[in-house]
Amino acid sequence: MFRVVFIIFGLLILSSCSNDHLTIEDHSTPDKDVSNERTEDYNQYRNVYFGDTHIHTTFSFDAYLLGNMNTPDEAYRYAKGEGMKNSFGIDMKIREPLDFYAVTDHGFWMGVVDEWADTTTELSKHPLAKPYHNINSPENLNFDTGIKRIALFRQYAGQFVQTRGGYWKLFKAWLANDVSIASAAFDYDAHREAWTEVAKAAQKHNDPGNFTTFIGYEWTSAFLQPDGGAYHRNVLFNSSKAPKRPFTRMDSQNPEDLWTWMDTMRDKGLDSLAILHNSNQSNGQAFRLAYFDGRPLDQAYAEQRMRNEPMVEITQIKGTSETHPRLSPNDEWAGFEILNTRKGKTNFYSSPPGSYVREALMNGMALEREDRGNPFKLGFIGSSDNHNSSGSYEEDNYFGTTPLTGIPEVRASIPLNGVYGEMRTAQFGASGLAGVWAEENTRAAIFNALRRKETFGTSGNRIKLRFFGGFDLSSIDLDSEDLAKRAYGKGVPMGSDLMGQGTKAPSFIVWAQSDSYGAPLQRIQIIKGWYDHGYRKETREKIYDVACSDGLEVDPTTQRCPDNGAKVNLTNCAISNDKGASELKSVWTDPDFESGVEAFYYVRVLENPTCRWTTWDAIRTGNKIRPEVDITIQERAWSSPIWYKINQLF
Amino acid sequence: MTKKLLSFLCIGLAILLLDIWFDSSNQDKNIVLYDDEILSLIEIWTAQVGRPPNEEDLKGIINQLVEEEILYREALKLGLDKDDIIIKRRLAQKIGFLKQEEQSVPPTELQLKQYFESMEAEYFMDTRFSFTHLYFSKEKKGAERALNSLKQLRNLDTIPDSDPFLVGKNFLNKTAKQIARDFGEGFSNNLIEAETGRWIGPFKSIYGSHLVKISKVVKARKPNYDEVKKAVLLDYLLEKKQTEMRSYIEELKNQYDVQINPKFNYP
Repeated sequence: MFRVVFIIFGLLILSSCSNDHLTIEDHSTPDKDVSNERTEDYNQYRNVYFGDTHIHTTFSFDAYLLGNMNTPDEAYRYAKGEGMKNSFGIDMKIREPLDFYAVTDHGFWMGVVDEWADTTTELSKHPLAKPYHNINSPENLNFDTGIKRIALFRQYAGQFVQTRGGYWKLFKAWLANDVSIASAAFDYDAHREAWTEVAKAAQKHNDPGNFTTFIGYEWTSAFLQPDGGAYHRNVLFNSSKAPKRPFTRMDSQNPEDLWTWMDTMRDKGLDSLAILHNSNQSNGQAFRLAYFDGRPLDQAYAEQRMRNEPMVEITQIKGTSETHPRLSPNDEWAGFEILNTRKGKTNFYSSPPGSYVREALMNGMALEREDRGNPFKLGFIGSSDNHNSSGSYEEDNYFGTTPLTGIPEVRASIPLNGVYGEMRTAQFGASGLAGVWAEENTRAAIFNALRRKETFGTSGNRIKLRFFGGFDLSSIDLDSEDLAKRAYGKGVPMGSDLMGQGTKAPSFIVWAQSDSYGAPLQRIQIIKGWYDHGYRKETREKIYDVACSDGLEVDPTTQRCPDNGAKVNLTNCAISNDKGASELKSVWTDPDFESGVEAFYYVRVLENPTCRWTTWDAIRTGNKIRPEVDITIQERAWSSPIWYKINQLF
Repeated sequence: MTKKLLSFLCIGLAILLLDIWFDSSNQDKNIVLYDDEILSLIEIWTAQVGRPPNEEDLKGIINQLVEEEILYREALKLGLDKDDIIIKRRLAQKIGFLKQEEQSVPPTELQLKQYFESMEAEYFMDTRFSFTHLYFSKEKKGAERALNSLKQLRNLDTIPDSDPFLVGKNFLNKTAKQIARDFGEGFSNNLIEAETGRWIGPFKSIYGSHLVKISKVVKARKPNYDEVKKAVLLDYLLEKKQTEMRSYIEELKNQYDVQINPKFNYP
């Protein structure tokens, strides 16, 4: 009897690790991180910084299984411009260094798969771990292991993860309030070690004034049932502090629980924000008009969601989530980098309604009109979601999403033994950068910019984009030297609310510069969306070209620029060098303004067409160009919207 | 009869043994909570929650402390700390932390300088330019306007009208690479041997023409020690701590006799 009692007591001591997701740990190095001084580049009219907040390293279960052995530390060095090789020996180097970067490994199973592969560990002795033994030992780091890796990733991993551990593990899991511990495949120490290494690497590379990092991770929840969707978002902490372990899908599959956890941590002094991604693959779940349990949305939902999740990745490797040709039949540019399959169940179609950002913005306006709050008032960024520890943003320098997709045959741009690989792999894009307008390159300034949504996303190029809304902007001379200062003085920047009386049409300043390494700009567009609350009761959208290159003018009936005639040579990818503009700017007043109707406006800037990476692959290897994917694309940037709101609604 | 007597004696003996056992274990059954300990817990609590604890919270904090101490002692008695891999790792980690925090003798200036010399490449500084510029968009006859404006600047010393540049006018301590991001590759070549403090140009970028006034050029060079003293000290200490930890472990290893099965065979 005594023995039993004491064993229970002993276990209770083990449970001192309980609720680690609610305990805060500080990773700061005192000599380095304390400084409230402004850095040299501080600018009250804000500088533009480019970065990527979505990078997976060797600690992500999927990245590991597909061959990634590069650490968070190496990931940050890559972002600062150092070239590196992935573990299959493929060279990876970015064209220009980035200003900020966040390693965001999957929270669940972070750092654990290595324990299955390493034959000295306890976990590797489990019979189900056997196929994983030495999977990333040097002799196995090659393309011949590809089929095995995919099988391990798609079939066996799930089975192992779901295998229950012994009673000892179950009891520990119960005490520690952490379901993952109950799995035969999980090791808490390895998990904690990986998470600490992620945080330490972020702290080591954070360099105020030069380079910003965030401690963060991806909260990943996907359902495998026939109708299942996906709920993926990254969580970034605005601090050198982080929870002792991340809150993962093992704690809850419900994003509302994630937000509640973020609220709790914020009350404890640890601020964070979540960035939604791959709504395109969510099969309608990302912007579903209901709570997780099916109740209708309300004000409380909108407030909690926006407090925690004000941002969305409008583009990334796994497709662009702006809109879909089925949702926006009158948008000629809607079919950009569409990836039409689901997450987690990649052979299944992902249904567009509820999966795309523009529709969500419009639905949000309708909900707000019904006094249910706007849960989809989203700012835009792009990021990569690359699983190589390194973002791959350039069409002519695309090296895949994992070591396994490091060569054209495997990434399905050219045939292997006469047969093309999976369409889905060819649909992946060399995409996703975040542009941020911040006073300086510090963690606090960039975090605040994300919070206020003064951000834009690009499909990988560094198009620079300013966007302001106001009522008196047409009085500003666009050629005045201090244009930014004047625009801030008389208007609001991207991501803001523009408050009006409902009687005067809003006007907007758009201003874009091409990437000095990219193609020239072709046009700037404004996309307007609103809810027609009259008797029609429907959401509406309209696209206006507002600035054309090559001295062309917008046709007032079609609202389109004429074709500027820019061409791509499909034998060598050369582009017309006499077409397009290095800079475009314009002031535009909404010609279809209706008094009393609220609306959002965001900008889309288009480059002249260039070769897609699949085309580059084919030309370089002397193959036929794969026809089912776009041969050329128009790289682009999207600003966060400005919401025109009426002070008093009648 | 003898059976009953025997069992009676056995029960008696058991009670006696239990009594002795309890008695002996009573000696370490005093728990004394010192003020310091509680105060530091209050501090941690306040830092985490963001307000000082109230009466109720305080009771909880102290109660938790007491219960933890009791369970801890009972676990020690049962020997639960033996052969536990988690505790082993934690203790090994702790000694590591202790060694890390040990204040080693602060390095002398000479040591730091030597370290700095040996790591020269790490501290090499690229050329940095500070300048302001006037931009003339190529969409609006930039080349011509730039030339005229330069004349105006030189002759009349008034600042002519120019176009707004999206990323601004003033650039401080930028490397050639950073300049390339905003003006295009090679733009900084114009600035390397150029005159400072005076309007020069026009120089072409992909966006148009620029007149530039350089305020400062810091040539690529090996920095002198004083400029990077702080970074050198940090790097030195970090490296020293690592080597100290290493040699500490090596030293300890010498005191141990490590035996590994000579027939161990890795499959």
